[in-house]
Amino acid sequence: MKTPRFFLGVILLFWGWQVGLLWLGLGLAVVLESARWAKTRFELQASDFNKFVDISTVLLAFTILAALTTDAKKANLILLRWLPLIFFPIIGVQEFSAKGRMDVKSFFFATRKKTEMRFYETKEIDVSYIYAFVCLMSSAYANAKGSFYYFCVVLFFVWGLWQFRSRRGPLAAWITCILIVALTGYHGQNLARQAGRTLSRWIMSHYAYTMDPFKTYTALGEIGDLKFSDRIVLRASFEDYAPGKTYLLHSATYNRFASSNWFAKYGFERVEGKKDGGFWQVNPPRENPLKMTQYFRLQKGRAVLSLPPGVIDISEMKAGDCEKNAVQVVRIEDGPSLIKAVVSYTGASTYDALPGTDDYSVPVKEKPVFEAAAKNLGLEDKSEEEILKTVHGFFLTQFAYSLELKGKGKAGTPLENFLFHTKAGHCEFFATATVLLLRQAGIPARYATGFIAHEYSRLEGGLIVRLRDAHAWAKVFVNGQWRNFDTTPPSFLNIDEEQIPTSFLEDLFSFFGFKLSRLRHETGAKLVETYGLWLMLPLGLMLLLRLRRSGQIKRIKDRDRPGRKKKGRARATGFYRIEEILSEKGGPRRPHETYASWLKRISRQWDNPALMEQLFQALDQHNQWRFGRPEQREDLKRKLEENLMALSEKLLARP
Amino acid sequence: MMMPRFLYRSYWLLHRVSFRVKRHVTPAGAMMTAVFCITALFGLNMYKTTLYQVMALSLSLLLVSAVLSLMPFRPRLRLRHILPVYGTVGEKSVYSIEITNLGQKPERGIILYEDPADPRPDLNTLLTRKEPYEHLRNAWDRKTLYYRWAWLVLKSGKARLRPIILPDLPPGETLSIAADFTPNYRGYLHFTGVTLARPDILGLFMRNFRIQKTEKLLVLPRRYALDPPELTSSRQYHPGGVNLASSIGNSDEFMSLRYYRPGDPLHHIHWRTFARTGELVIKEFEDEFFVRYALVLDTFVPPERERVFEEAVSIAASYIASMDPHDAILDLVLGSHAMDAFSSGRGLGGSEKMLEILSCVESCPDKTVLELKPVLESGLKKISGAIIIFSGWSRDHEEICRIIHEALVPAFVIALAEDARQKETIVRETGGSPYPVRVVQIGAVPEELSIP
Repeated sequence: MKTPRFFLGVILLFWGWQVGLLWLGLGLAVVLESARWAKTRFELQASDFNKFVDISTVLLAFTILAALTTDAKKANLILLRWLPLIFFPIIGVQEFSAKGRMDVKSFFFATRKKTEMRFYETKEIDVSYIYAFVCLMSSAYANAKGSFYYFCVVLFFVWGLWQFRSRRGPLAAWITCILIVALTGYHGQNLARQAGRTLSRWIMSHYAYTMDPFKTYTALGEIGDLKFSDRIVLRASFEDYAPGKTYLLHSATYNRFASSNWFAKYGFERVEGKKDGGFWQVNPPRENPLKMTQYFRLQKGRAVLSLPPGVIDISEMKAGDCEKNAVQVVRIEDGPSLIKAVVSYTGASTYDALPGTDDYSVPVKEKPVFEAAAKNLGLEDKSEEEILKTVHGFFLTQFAYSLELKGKGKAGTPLENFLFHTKAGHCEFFATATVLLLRQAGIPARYATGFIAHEYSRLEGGLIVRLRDAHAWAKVFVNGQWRNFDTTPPSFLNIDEEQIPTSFLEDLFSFFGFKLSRLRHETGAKLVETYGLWLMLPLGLMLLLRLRRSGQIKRIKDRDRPGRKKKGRARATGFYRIEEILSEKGGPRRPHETYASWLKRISRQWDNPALMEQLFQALDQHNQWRFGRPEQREDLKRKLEENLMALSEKLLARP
Repeated sequence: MMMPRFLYRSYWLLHRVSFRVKRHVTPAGAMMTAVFCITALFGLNMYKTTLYQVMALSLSLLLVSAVLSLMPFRPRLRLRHILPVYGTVGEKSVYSIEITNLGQKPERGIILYEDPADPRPDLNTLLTRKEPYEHLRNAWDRKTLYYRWAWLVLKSGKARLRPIILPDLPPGETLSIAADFTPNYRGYLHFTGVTLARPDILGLFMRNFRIQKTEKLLVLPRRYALDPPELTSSRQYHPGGVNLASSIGNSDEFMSLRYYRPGDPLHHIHWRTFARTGELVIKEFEDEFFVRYALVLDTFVPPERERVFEEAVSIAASYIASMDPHDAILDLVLGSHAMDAFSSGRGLGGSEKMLEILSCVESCPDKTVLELKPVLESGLKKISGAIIIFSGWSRDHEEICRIIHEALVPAFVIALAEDARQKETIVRETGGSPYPVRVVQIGAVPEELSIP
């Protein structure tokens, strides 16, 4: 069934408006709606329809390719946005063809070839409603907040369903039903959104136990594994960079320690931001912030950001969604595979939540060990600053950095072994022991993980962060503020470099890969966005020229356009002009009935002998005109026309 | 066996489900269901798009509509089908339905579905019959038997019956509605009743009301306007036919002498009288008027030559329909499960009986044309001419021609070819035939068999 008048045009305009292609939408709408007024149609063969379907297929392939090239992660969304344009050749050819419908076999390559093997009837469909739905679906790309999109969808549904309504019930009943549907749907979509978010959170929390980027617990020793890779994971440039300066880039903070693992149970909240501009306001603005720029890749569409302390905002970051928790862990979802982020930060003060009871607790199992350590250091009687100094000095002077994992040895726990026997370990041991020792001394402390940026690359002209630079340190709450407190001996960087050599060739490849990705995401996306549409123009022109040259397009006069009455025949021939009126008033003529027998049947219903006599007289005149002598035809026709004019008026006046 | 049985049960069930869905869901409803499924599939990520809003609205529409469609529907209508006796393959059959509203309320927006007999084949038929294009299908299609199932269902269903949207029916009034369908296959089309469907107020789902009514219609094979072939033994001198014939006798019985008239056969000239008088005088024999023809139809066609078989049946039906039943007796000789010969004509059943037989005839792929030999040998003594329609050409066909020729029966032989290449081959091969063979390409029968 055909869509109502202007339906497709309006829906295309809506699409254009929503996805930011209003002029394109307007153009397509005008072309489609003009089909209703145009007096010509194209007489196309099945092979011509196939060609237009092929154009859509080529456009689809082209869009998929372009989307994958510019932004593989958002390819489905890019595709969704351009769907109405991709399928426009199909709806266009249907609307302008004399047939006005599409053969189903045109859509499948297999059935096109197997025409000679088909024993079933050809099935033709009208794709206008399907196309309208594609436009509506594509409009959802805009992801408009609030109920506006829903309201528009309701309007389009009502408009589209109007012609399908049953005529058995009164109009009021139909309107009531539609209202019920709209209200139920509204509550339903609210419910769906809430359910979806709950499900999404549940999935994310589930993933948090198994996936690296969203991990909210850690294990001692895990960093040791990571450190054996020299893969570059992040590229950063700081505006205050000076040779030799190192930066701690914080990823996650944990506050509960149990069974050699750190846990955190902070819920995430959305960060307000503008997706198009890529600006995210993480914390309230401050004056004179520091700036740093970083590039990193998403893992399975998600990432936990590694950020300097006291992040205020992030700009130029094209992410689908951004969330943070109370301990300033920022994670993002969706976006191009290579993410650029320009971060404004304070550099010192952080926005972490105030200490809670968890930040003071030492696990029962570890308590005797840390009580003994605190006693040995004499931390009970010291001030906060003195404690920090003592602890820092304790680890710096008495401990050594080692990547060797020695387990718990003869001691009760790995930490006891580290503090009293081996006195050597990797950063996790230092960080964990520091946190628990400070807590034992009454200072709130947390365990933080992230990266240490220290390696300057001449090739890239900035700092590069490798996987082996993963680091753990403590966060302490002193003087009403949280600050980083790293007790791992500084020599660890040299040891890492010695034990995990880097490959210049790998770095070179990585650099070229990075440059290529930047070119693709930053320059390529703009190119496709700006000129992509123009690339389709020669494609269409080529097709038109090909069809014209082979003479497959014929322009014919449209006589039987839907929605138009066949006026031509009625004007040309006499009695036929009142046939339609008679059918409406007295019932249609049956296939076997002659005009005379039909009039006789009607006369029994009407009980108007005078009118019936006139009708029979007109029929006689009609027969004489049609089958009588040629020389009398003109005269008869004139009389007949006069008679019929009067008759049609009388008939129309009848109830 | 396990697999085909499982496939059969699956197709059987699927057909039933699809039939019921079509009767309970309007096209708009089907579209809305598709909208719901697509948006549910692609709208799951609520952070990316607002498709979930379309999903919620479409689900709400479907639910409300489904609930509304449960409202009772018991129309008080009387229906009468006025079906034609015969339909023809490929030609529109027009019929009418008279509907009377016996209730107190007007009936509006009702859709009428004709209920044909269940077209699903049984397991044995599915396993033994082959569809015409099976030899071209790939291994998977052949294994899954889907096309075979679809073909059997279509063949058994005969025609696609479209739903009819009834006009408004005021209480107590009778309306006559014209409807039509185009049969695709020959045979009996059985109707078991009609289903009246009432869409709900939103127009997505329907509630049904079934009226049982048994009717049937015979779909005849496609027929062409062919002239009957001129067989030399046919009647020539009794333009009035049997009714005006003055006497009855055998054709070789001498009756009298008369002057020559243009068109008389030269071998009947009485040369002695010509020698004596110099005038052409002809021997007049008792004219044969009780002509008995045989129409031999080759039904021994493999499934992949289904189109050829249908064309052969159409040609046979065309000759039967064009012959005057008062002047001749026609024996239809064909092989189905057993070899049969049916007679029609003067004093016997009319040609419509023959057409009925042809409408229901099936091919016999497991036998050869030589199976007709015993029937022909016993019947050839009685017949004075034969029309033989072969679906191809082989030594067996040549043998059949030889048998008929030895009985001195004049015959008009047609051999059908699928395409131009096969036609050329058959033309070459029929060189040794005792009769000239008309090789006809399917799809061009009227052009090739009509006498100009």
